[in-house]
Amino acid sequence: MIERKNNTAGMPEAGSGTQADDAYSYFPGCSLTSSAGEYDVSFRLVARELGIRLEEIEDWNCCGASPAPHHWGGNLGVLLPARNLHHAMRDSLVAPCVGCYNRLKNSQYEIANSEEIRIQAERVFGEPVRYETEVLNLVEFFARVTSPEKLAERVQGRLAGLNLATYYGCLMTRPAKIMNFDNARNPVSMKPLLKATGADADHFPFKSECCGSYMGLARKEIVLRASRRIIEVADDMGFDAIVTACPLCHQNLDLRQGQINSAFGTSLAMPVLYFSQVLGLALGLEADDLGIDAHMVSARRLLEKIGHGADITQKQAEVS
Amino acid sequence: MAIRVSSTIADGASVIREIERRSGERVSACYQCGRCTSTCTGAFAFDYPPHRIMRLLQLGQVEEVLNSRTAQLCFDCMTCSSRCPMTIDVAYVIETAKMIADERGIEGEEEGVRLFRLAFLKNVRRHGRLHEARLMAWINLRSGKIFNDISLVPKTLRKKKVHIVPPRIKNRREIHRIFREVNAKLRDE
Amino acid sequence: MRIGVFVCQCGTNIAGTVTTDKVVSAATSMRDVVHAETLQYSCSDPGQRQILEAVQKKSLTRVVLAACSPRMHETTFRRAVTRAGMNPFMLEMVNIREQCSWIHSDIDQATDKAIDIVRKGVAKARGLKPLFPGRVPVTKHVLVIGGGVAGIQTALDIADAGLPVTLVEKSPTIGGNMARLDKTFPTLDCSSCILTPRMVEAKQHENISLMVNSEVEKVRGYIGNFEIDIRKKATCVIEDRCTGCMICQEKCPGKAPDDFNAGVGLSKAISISFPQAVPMVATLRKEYCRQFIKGKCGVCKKVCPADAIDYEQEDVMVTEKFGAIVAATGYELYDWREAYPDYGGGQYPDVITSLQYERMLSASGPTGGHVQRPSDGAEPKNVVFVSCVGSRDESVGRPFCCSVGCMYIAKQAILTKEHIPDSQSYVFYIDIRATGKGYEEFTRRAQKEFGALYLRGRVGKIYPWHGRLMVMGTDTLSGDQVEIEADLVVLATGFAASTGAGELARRMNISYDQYEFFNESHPKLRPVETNTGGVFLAGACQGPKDIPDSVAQASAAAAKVIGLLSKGELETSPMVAEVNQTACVGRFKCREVCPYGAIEELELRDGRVVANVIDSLCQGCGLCNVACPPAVIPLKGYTDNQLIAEVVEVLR
Repeated sequence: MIERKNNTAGMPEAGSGTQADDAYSYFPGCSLTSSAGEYDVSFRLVARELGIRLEEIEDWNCCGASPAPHHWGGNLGVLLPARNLHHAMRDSLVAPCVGCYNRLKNSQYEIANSEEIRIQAERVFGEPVRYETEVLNLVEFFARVTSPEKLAERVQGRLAGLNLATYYGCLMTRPAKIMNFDNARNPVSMKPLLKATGADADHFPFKSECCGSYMGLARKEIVLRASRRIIEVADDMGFDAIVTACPLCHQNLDLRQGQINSAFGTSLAMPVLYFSQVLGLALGLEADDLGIDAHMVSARRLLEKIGHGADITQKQAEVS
Repeated sequence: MAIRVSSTIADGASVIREIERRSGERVSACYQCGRCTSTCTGAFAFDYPPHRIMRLLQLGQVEEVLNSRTAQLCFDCMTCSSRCPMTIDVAYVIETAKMIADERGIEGEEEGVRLFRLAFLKNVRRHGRLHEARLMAWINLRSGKIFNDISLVPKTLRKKKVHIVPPRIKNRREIHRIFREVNAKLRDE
Repeated sequence: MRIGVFVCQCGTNIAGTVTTDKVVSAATSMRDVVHAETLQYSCSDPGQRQILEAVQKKSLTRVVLAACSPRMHETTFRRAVTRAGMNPFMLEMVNIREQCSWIHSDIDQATDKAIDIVRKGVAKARGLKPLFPGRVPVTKHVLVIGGGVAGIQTALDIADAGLPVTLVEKSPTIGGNMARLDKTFPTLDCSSCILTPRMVEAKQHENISLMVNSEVEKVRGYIGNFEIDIRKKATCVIEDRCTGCMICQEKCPGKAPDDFNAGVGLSKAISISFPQAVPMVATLRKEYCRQFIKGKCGVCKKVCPADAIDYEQEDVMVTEKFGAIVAATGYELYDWREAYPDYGGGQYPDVITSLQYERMLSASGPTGGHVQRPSDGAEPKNVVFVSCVGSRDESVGRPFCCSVGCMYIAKQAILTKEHIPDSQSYVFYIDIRATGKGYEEFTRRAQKEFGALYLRGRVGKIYPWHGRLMVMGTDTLSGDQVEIEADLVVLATGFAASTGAGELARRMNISYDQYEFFNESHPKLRPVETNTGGVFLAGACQGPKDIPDSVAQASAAAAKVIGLLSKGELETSPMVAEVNQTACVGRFKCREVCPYGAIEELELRDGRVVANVIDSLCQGCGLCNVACPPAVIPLKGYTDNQLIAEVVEVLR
């Protein structure tokens, strides 16, 4: 189970009036400003719907993603995210991109445990580095600002009939020692909120397998093989969609699903939705507004199942 | 040819000590159950699957490890680490080998991955944020695979998933200072 | 006062780090020491003779022996000085091995420390007084807890020696896990064929009284004289009326999980575990019974031809005296589900445990000996065995080897081929552990003659795939990842101590390890004893064991019990507390802290009520000693003055 920070202890409860005044620092990260624009859009929409104010970190920079920590003793991978921690002004920071979330928490951990890095950071920023802001991922964030009970009451089982494959990937929980979130072998944190929408979220055996990560450009076959299996198992088990919180996973599973089909002669058509989009649908927001039409794999059937209008169906058809 | 283990464990001792120190793991803790390999996402593309990397280190075969495709290719998904019955952070052991290889100037045969990492960091140093389209174009040019993923271009354009103009942050000097601070040498410059 | 100091070299165990000659010369100058010498091996016959000769020649009145831990050989040396005509309690043993030579490497410092230890011992020895053990009668009645193969063996051996035994079993039948097995390795003889006659024998033996559905609730007393409360749980069936006709089970409308069959198939709310159950008496489980859930049903009562059903039955508490206890509480399979989400965490019906498979293979099992996939009843063709699930896995807190998995997998692979000739078994293993007689040959046969394919590697993941199961693993011998499409996956789940083992250990005042397996007194030399006198161990409650080892240990425990109870009375340790009754203020703090109930009230002639120690109950733990406000309840052999003298020497 989720070990910490997932309850509302010590924090004002969602909708209790005080929460609205307490903004969260928001770190979109590079993907959410380009290839995963719909993730950004849906996240902001759902946060607004729940009455949460987000404050984008001023002049934020790239977290360094996977390449930075591989070089020069790894400190580049600590200092790049540190700049964002340093400029985050709120007590808590939400980073929907799981890659960014992972780098930010890693950075925080390294700074806390290394005098050398604190000195390096001070040289760069010209003042002692501020790194103690609480870093939340998207699932953690929503579990914090609402609760399954409140959500369920609000959405009235709108997503009933769907069975969603919860897909966590690697970086939300690993390495367990640093992420200290959920269970690295069997993450379950998405489930309570998804169940609250009325949907089912049966055990998905590939929930914490890797999609192939950033190998898409350099060694595409790794991504195609890894992602194929994830999609095929979800398909075989009869899931309606895969739900993720990671833009890179989304890219591999959705954008490259066509490549998978041509490479292996499969005919997979598994919609891949962001966690925020699912919550948005549950809250009655329009699929278009949530950017679901921006995905490569049409979610038409899924939307029909939950009674979304024909206009969306139309647009999806045009695109694909 | 037989591995003369009596020599290799003596010759490899210093590098193995360095890997153990930097990773905080003991290679001797591994009992070769192979669960890491059973769960490895990339093993089919590696020359040595993770359990064999651990075994090579136990045998002192450090050159094989530092020069391996595995060290170049492993993308640190950490599935192995999260599954190891001995709780060894296998991925971090490999990652440490990769860093040591990098520091020794070992380029390895996986040019594509190296190019990607390099291009990514150059891109970030220049703009402060990643410009995905530029990164992709640059890699395709440098790797000679100009049409790699070209089929995705019209779709991504239509879905408004691509920026043409690079995003730039204001305080790029601070970014440059970070790169200088870690003595980042972006080779190929 | 004439003290002799003997410094044991223990070969190089002590002499390798401690310069014993220096210790001897330092001892020579200590007050009251008239003799000091080194001994090469003090516990050897020549060593003991040297002590004896010195005592007699130098007329020693006290002996300080610097050697190993008193837990090893103190009794040996007490006997040695007795032979020399001394009171055995005039010996003081100090430990310069475990507490000095073994844990230090610097010779000079270790030697200095050894000298300090000897000086401290000499100081304490000055305060020694002759002590004389008491004698208590023993109760010739043995309690065996647990009715598995180990408990049955122990009970029969003891009963055959003429001692009465009470065999307590918490489930409705004796037989334990062995009764659930189909065949046994490496001989493939039928488990129930060899066990059930023993079960019946236990039932019929004139010296054995059987208590099923019963648990030990409270243990009082000490070696030779335990007083134990046993709770006999209500089963709503009058045991001596029930004829075992099973009509109630047939007619009962209440479905219930089948514990005996490890959850394969369903049972009834009132049932007899299996056809050879002993005793052949029905048990009703209230949590599944309509009479209790809905308040009306009464079918079993109506149909019972023996009028044996009593819904009003209540638990009965039985209190009896025993001279010795044998714990034989066995094991359970480790519950793997939480720890192995990668294997489905219990969500895939066709991933089963080895015990479930065993029930499926058994002709008297719920499938009548037909191997079937639980999901659809189809006969599996590809059967995958996964070893070490919950064994040799530190990440789930189970680092130890289950010691039987390799063998029973080989057995089950052989049986699979016998049941389904066109099947293929795949065995994922890490190392094959086959150390018993005929074991290695057996695992070879599984491969050579029965075609089981052994793959060396731990399985990574199992997932549903097109109606079958995909098993992702590794063959570390070829270095490759492997995948197998399986119809049935059998997990060789590890050993766990029986539920409640730790609680029972606390009741018996014996120690147990972090996995709640009971601790033996010494792993080599006292393997069936515990550190509590009169409590013995048999079988898998001490750690993973196969049937031959369990039975051997059970007979060993029986021999120990018979030896103990062959005497009419037992010597008690004289190192007990003693109240200075003129100074006692009658606060009875001692009685509050005494774990053995060894303090009684005593009214003196002047009318004062003071504390008195019952020597036969006191175990010499010293708690009263510390708790007594005026400090007037010293422990004989460990008086305050002696301890203070030691401390003074150490601080010098």
